[in-house]
Amino acid sequence: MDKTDYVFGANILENLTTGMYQDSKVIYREYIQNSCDQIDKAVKDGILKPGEGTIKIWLDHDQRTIVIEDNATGIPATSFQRTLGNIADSDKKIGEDKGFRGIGRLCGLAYCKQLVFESCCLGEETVSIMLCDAKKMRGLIEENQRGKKHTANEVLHAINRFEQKKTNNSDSHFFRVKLIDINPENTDLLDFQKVKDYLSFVAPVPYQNSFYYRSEVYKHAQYLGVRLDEYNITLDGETVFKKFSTILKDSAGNKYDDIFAVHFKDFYDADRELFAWMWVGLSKFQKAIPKINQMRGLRLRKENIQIGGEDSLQKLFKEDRGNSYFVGEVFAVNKDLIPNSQRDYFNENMARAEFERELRKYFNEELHKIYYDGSAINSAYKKIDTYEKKEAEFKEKENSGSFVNKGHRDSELNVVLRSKKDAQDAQVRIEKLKDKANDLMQKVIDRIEDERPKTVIKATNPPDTNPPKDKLGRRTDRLSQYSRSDRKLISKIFDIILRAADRETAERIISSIEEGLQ
Amino acid sequence: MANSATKLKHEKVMSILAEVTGGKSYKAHKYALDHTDRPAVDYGDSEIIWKRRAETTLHKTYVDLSGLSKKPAFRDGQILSYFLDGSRRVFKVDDIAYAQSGGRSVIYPVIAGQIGVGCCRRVDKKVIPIKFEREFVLSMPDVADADGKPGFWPATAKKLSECNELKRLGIEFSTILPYKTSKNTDKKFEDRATACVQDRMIECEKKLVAELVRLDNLNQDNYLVKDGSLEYRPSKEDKIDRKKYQTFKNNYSWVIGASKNFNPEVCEDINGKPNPGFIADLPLYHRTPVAEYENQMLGDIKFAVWYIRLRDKTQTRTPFDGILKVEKILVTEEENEFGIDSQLVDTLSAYLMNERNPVCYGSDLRWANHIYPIYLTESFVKSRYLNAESFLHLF
Repeated sequence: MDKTDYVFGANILENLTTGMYQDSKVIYREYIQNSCDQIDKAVKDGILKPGEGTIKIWLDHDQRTIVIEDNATGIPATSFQRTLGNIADSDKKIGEDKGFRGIGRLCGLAYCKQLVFESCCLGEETVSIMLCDAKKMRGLIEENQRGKKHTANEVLHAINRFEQKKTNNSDSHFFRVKLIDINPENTDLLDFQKVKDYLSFVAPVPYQNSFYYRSEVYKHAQYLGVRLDEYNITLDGETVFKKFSTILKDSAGNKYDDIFAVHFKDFYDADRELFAWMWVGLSKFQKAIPKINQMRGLRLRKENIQIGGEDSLQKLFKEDRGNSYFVGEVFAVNKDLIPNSQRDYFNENMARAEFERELRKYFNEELHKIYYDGSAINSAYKKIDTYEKKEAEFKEKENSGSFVNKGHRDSELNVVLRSKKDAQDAQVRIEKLKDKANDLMQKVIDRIEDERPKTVIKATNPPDTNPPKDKLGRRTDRLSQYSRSDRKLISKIFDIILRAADRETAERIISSIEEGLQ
Repeated sequence: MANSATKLKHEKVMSILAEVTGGKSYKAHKYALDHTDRPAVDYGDSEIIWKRRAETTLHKTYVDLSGLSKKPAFRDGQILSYFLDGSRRVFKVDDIAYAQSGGRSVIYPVIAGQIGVGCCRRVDKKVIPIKFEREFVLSMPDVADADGKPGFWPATAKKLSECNELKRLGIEFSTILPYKTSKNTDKKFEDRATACVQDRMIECEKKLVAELVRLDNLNQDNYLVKDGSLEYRPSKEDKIDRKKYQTFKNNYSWVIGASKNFNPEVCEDINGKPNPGFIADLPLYHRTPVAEYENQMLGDIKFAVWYIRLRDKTQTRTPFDGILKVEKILVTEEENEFGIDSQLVDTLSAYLMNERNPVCYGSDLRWANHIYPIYLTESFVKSRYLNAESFLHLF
């Protein structure tokens, strides 16, 4: 064994391609990540001015082709074969580059018939091309799994081909990935809207200009001295933006609340080194934000690329629902917070433990309080509103003589008085919550109180426990065309209905009878 | 022939035109025809066909933006960076007679125009001119080219440019625009000729917008605001390459049209009925809901339009003063399907509202509808005109 090479079986390639990711759309993230690193390098080397770097994605539904191209450094012809042919042998560095494992570019092999890389460097008149027969690779891996053994080395030799072609344009510099003939089961990769929605939260792109708080987020990053990596990425010519908005919609698509401010929190370790920071949107916290709001949840990002989905931080809340009350982003800064190979969370290490501890503390002490107390205040005010409404309804009934008899009036009055008690308790609860509110909570309370819909019909005087004599039992008086004895009978029937059915049903039946008799 | 060509070189413009077109120049009184720079309602027919509501939130009434426009993001930041305006001046420079059937002759006016289109860019709160295109054009009756010879007008324009006086002054007539003389409309010949110059100006504006769009300098932080209605113009070359065309088309996302004059008759109210009162009653710092229209002249491109009030009705002379009509092309797939993001409409409107100060009060009668950087761009364009007297002297 000493003098022989260790053998990597073909299954290692399965681990790195078809077996690696749950969601095929990660291919966009992986190739964008590589392009971003090269754009940074191109800016550093003076090939591009800041802001000139672009990543363009083109989908061709008819041809079933995806092209992802950048105008960054490109790869020199001399090192093209080594750079792209070798696996997990990247020159990139953890903490400096977004990618570093040297495996991300293989992901395309899982989803198409042929994967092609093309590149050209500034000053070179050669376009270097690598053609990978992805379908063949999947066939060989399958053979391997069925017992016909192949090494990873054999598979790579069988599927990879390198070519060069001349170009007259020595000024051009690019790297292009082509996924040719996308598999039928991966057609989603060609769905423009699905891809755009995915990129709108995962890719390192600027906030859309209608997210009014973007300048505050940029200012805070500047204050902390951290870079917020943003790149110009287009999909079929449309610029991709982070789709944050300030409006919260209910499941029917109507606005029910809005983000009225953003709040920042910075996390430092024991050595006073910043390891993460975040912004969180403040709303009235009426309810968990419905799914229709694509931006919901506190999203985790490293180098401004999203880690996992909208729920990657959910487990740090003591209640599962906690995360869905918020809109915001957590930016991990510490170099030791290393995205795992699927990029859905961080590798397990000391830095991650500290990150989780601090975030959990903040989420469960501060954030839990604002959504919990916010909800409590909202429902307390709802109780007060309910009481005011019920009281006004009672007055209205009293004035229009809608009570059938004293029993009916008493029972309605009881409902009002119970509601009044609830409202009084609610008021006490509100005062208590206000007393213990910190600055952040106070902002939420102020907003709830400012925006609270004012009751339109407000009863001026509380109802009397004893009914005014002239207004009692006049409901059947409306049926003046009937004789006194008939009215007495009808009144009796109304009373039976009131006792037999709930308030609303009884009122509906009585009104219908009145209508029928008139 | 050679002699006549040499002779022409020494002639004045009108003599050359008379000679080339076989007409008789009367050396009539020359004067300017312009009466712009006044606030006006754009009456009359419109090609606009109103379609559905075109924004993501279905507003049932006016949207109050007074609070939004006061937010720090709107007071400190700015996303409207480029301002484009076109303008033209028209002059009646002569009367010219052409022989008609039956031995009689008919006199027609000859109209000359100066067209200027300019663009300014705002950097660090300073507005700087970045582009200017000028054209001199003539509009002649179509009977001047009685045989309808192909290439007659460009050849005539070229001949004019060879004349010594124009060469000395470095002036070239870029084209001659024939106006229709048929009697099927009541429009005066002067107005028909002016309309030709106006159309040419719109063409020049479209060209410059397309050029700016092609440059790739526009983005969500650098919008181009065009004075007047929006047009969309890809060239044939733009359409050859799918990728280039997609990019070009998407760059129109960053262009908005802001019109001071508009036809309120074509605005519908929330019930979908034309109702100019709906616009007249627009409260200060509010906007209307967004409507969508297609313009058959511009193909299948869809436009979104809404109105915002910059000035209180009590401060203006008519209820339509102080209102700006805003247009935007529906570019992205999402916009075409669901309409423009209402928040983006609010954002653009709030920025436009904050452009209302300072004003050109006293300097321009349309002060209530003007946004100041556009006023500056217009002033820049006008400052580059050849003086009216010198211009008239050419004829």
